[in-house]
Parts: sequence; C-alpha cells; structure tokens
Amino acid sequence: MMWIRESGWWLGFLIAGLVGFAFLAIHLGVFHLPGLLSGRPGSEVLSFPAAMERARSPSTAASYIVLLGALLYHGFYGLRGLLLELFPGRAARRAITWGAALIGMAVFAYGTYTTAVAARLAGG
Amino acid sequence: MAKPEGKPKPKLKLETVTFKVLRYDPERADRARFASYQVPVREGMTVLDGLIYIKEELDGSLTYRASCRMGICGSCGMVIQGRPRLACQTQILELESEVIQIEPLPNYPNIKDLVPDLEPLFAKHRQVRPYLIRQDTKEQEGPTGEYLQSPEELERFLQLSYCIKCGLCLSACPTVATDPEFLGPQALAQAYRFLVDSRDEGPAERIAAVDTEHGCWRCHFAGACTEVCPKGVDPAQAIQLLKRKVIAYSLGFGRRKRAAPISPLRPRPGIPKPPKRTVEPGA
Repeated sequence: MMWIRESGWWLGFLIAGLVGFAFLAIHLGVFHLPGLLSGRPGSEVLSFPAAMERARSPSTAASYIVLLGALLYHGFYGLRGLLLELFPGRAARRAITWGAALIGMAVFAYGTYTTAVAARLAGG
Repeated sequence: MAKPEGKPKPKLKLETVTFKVLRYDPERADRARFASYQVPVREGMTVLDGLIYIKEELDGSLTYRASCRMGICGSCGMVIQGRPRLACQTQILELESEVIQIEPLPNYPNIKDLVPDLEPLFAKHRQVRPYLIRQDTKEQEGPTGEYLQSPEELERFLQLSYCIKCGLCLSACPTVATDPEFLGPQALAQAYRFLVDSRDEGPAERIAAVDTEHGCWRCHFAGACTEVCPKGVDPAQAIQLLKRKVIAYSLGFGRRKRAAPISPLRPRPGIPKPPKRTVEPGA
C-alpha cells in the first residue's frame, strides 16, 4: 500500500466523511422532513408501496453501496490510525494497514452482495 | 492618577516551601521515589533557584540540567505542579503552594532525577531537515551571498523560529505518549517553518518526511503543545497549516517554488566583514 502517500489516504478519509454527511442530510430531508426533498407528504413517503418502489430502484441500491463503501473506508481508516498509535513498529504498521484493508473489503463485498440480493427480492 | 497595570503580586507570603522532587537513580533498586526538601524563599526566586539551593546546601546528589537561567537555552524543562515548564521561568511564589512537586519530563527516557534524554526530540527534528535546502548543490555547500526576504515573507514563519527545543511540547503531547514514532509538535512545526520560508527550495524532501503514517496526520489537535510552550510558539496551528500545505502539494499546487533572489555580499557601513573561512566547502 505504498503507492499512495499518507496524504492520499487521509484526503480519501475526509471525502468519505463528507459523503457520509451528505447521505445523512439526504436521508433526513427525504424521510424525516417530508416534503423538503421529495415534495410528497410524509405518510406517502413512508408507505409500504413507496418503500418497495425504492427498494426495487437500481439507483437506491447503488447509493447504498456508495454509502457503505464511504463509511467503511472512513471507519477503518480511523481504526487503523488508532491502532498505529498503539502498536508502533514497521511489522505492526504493515499488519494493521493490510488487516484493515482486507477486513474492510470483505465487509464491503458482503454488504454489496446483500444489497443486490435485497433489490432482487424486491423485484428490481 | 491610576496605577500602572502590572503582573498581580502573589497572595501567598511564605518563608519556606517544600520541594517534593521525584528522584530517580538507574543503579538503585528502588529506582523512583519522592524526596522532600525545605527551601527558604524570597520574592523573585524561581524553581531553578530552589533546585540550585538544594544542590549547594542540602543534597549534592540531586541532578538537574540548566544553563542560561533566562529561558533561552531550553535546558531546565521539567514537570512542576503537574505541568511541563521551564524551571528558570517559574516563580515559586506564583505557584501559590506550600508544597511544590517536581518530576522529570514524561515521554522521554530518563537518565537521572530531573534529567531526561532529549535524543528522541533531536532525532525527530533532524528527520524534517531543519535547514534551508537549495537545489543548486554548490550554493548549498558554499552560499555566495545573502538570500533576500521581505518583512512579509519573514512574518510567515517568524513566530515558529522562536522554538528553543526545550522539548516541553513533546512531553505534553498525548499522541507522543501513545505513539513514540509520531514526529511530534516540535519537528512538525519546524517542517512548516521551513516549508513557508521563501529562501527554501526543498518542499519535496521535507514533505516526504512528514507525509507518513507517523507524520502530521496523527496529530489530533489536542493543543497541549501550544499550551505549554514557554516561548509563545503555536505548534498546534502550524501542524494544521502543514496538513493543508501537504494536501495542496500532493494535488500539484506549490510544486514550482521559486528561490529567493541572491544578493552578493558587499560591505555595509557599521557592519564588520565576515571572518575568513576556516574550512573550505566540500573539505
């Protein structure tokens, strides 16, 4: 993981945090402040047919995957930073970086798979 | 007529105070223990004066490090009443306590009593190349003149150049406490100091030294370094500005740094000529 300098990973961490924040704002706007973004009343937005319609939509599935990736990256980068401080040394540094990357990618793959299955079950 | 405002006088009037000093002898079985000494005090007396009194009058085996007695050399850093300070700058009466607890600086190996081994500080300082780098290697080895700099350019880093390398900031830093490899506030602030110096041409080398796993990104902006700095330097702010500089550099901004113009040396009225070289460049 030496082909990108630490500043690159850190910038990614910052961007991933902003992506998470943007999704949170959209979620609040659509579901908790009805009418603000969707232009529809709350009862309609939260109704079962509306939820199923969203679940079938490929754009919803894609946005969930982007959100999952951003939050996993943000969280695992932070965890890596904590562990790097607690376990100094070159060997520990490599183990922590690779460990965080592999676990993060495995969770991302599993999350992507379940999102795709859920969209398919909903009829998407 | 209103009285001129000055430093408020300490409320406590004491004739003696107890110095409770953490003694450490690497050769003894009970390595660290507190020893108490009664020290007569008068107004204007510093903690360093008290330590000198103990060494001269009470216990010659007490070990501490000091030199200038005026907050310039940065030798007498120690933890006084739970806070890293320079002993020569700390007035005993201003502490307003009958018992003064003194311990060596944490986050450094201890040599004896109040003497920490500051080598980690100097090693980290060396890592960031704390000197002007010129791409012209001949000019680097044997400068041919003065590098011109405007007052505005000087202002960018002047505050940071007051660092006396006392090491208080590293002893206060919570990240250094958990991660001994973290470069620390002193070295990172000095990296920024040289990055913004208009006479410097070495951003690539310096950024490579700080843009690492244990470099500037591990600073969590606790601000303890700035709180304890005896010279009013603000390393915490410098590190945040350094992060911005590193990100800008990694995105391709500020890579072509134009060197400051060189002005040939010429005699000026009232300023004596520089002495002749004793060692030739490259010797």
